[in-house]
Amino acid sequence: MSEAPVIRVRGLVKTFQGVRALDGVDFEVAHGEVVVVIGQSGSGKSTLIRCLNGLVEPDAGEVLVGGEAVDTHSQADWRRLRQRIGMVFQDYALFPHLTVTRNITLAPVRTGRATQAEAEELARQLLERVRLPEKAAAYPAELSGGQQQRVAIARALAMRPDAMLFDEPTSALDPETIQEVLDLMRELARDGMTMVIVSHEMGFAREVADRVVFIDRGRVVETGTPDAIFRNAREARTRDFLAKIL
Amino acid sequence: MGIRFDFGYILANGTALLEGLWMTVLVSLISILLAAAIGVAGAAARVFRVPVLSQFFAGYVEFVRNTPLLAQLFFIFYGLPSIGMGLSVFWSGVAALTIWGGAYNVENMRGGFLAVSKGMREAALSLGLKPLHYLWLVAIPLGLRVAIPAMLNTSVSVLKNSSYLQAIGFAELTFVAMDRVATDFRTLEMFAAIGTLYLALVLLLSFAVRRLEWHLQRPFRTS
Repeated sequence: MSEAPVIRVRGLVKTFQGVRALDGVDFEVAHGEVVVVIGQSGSGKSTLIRCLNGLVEPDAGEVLVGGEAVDTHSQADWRRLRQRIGMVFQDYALFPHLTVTRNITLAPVRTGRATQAEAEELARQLLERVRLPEKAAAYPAELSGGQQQRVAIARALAMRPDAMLFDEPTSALDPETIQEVLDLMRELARDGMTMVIVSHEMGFAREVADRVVFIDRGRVVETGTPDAIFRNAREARTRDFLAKIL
Repeated sequence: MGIRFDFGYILANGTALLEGLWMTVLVSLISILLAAAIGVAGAAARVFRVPVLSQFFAGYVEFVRNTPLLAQLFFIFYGLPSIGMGLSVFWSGVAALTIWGGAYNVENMRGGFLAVSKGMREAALSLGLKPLHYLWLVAIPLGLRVAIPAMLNTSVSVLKNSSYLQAIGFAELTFVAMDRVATDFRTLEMFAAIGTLYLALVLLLSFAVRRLEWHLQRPFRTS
């Protein structure tokens, strides 16, 4: 069955105070595909991923979710679509005044997707899945960074999204907790979750990505399988970047 | 001539003092709660740049902070009736104290909202929550936690400033004391008595707010 891409953007442009963060980006992610976006700091990766769920409003270009065009200026339109696209942030962004369970149940209950009881049952299942069942009643401040990020992933999964966006999910973590988050993301990928990941973890990208996208100065320079990018990059800029970080 | 402090005199006027105390508590409590509500609503309008309301609250804060409370009180009690908006002495007092405390609370709470990281809003929105959900479930609890010490200061000031209401003839604690003094001239006893009662009220209020603060801080204390 040929399905419309889960997310597709065309000609995306975004300028911040005269600087072009995105300069005509075309990008798409197919159902079940894992795309890792790489590039230097300030290359536009985070802006791109934020445009995919409307946290950044592009100046020009179009966004299609599930083949449906989004009115990028309509917050109501975005709100509906965000319920289908989960997002995980670099700094976890858990609500610090709420317990782990309340962090997970808040959105499903408030958006009318589940009753309180259903949401709590779902939270229990998700905490099992992210291997933190004993932390159900804990507050975020009582968890390590890696644990907080796993809860943040559970929180996003509670909305049963069609796709998940990860904005540098391991960049703020201690080296010893990075692996537990990457393991969980590997499992999600294996289970067929559609994922867009901005990451500096090249080993992870090579292992998990179906496709790697290299962005520089707000443009997609090169895209291909991990092998094609990491071993045989066609563009000099891609090779320069990889030489610097590998 | 030795100094004579007559406790008996205070006790003899106990009923009148307690009635005044009750009026002070009532007018202050209502004003403190309403002022807190105005503070949260006004700060939200300012921080989230709600058109018209944001400008309105900015002007309101400037106006109230730059004019004397007594003039505001007289304006409400003596001025408004001439345009058909007369309020009873009690509600004039509540209005004046609420408007005064509300202005300071807008600024207090604005500081609280600004201390909530931008990431909280992005997280809430990315979960498909509405801006009002974010405000109510995330920004207000987190902002209050930061703003509470400043709001306690304002609340204490509202309580103490309720003594201005004696100027429009509202029978609160200071009014009762002035009234007694006018007939008996026992200034020392009367003002010592109301001083002690005000102090007790402020300490009680501080204690209650500290309990609330303790409650709001609980998630942030790691064992």
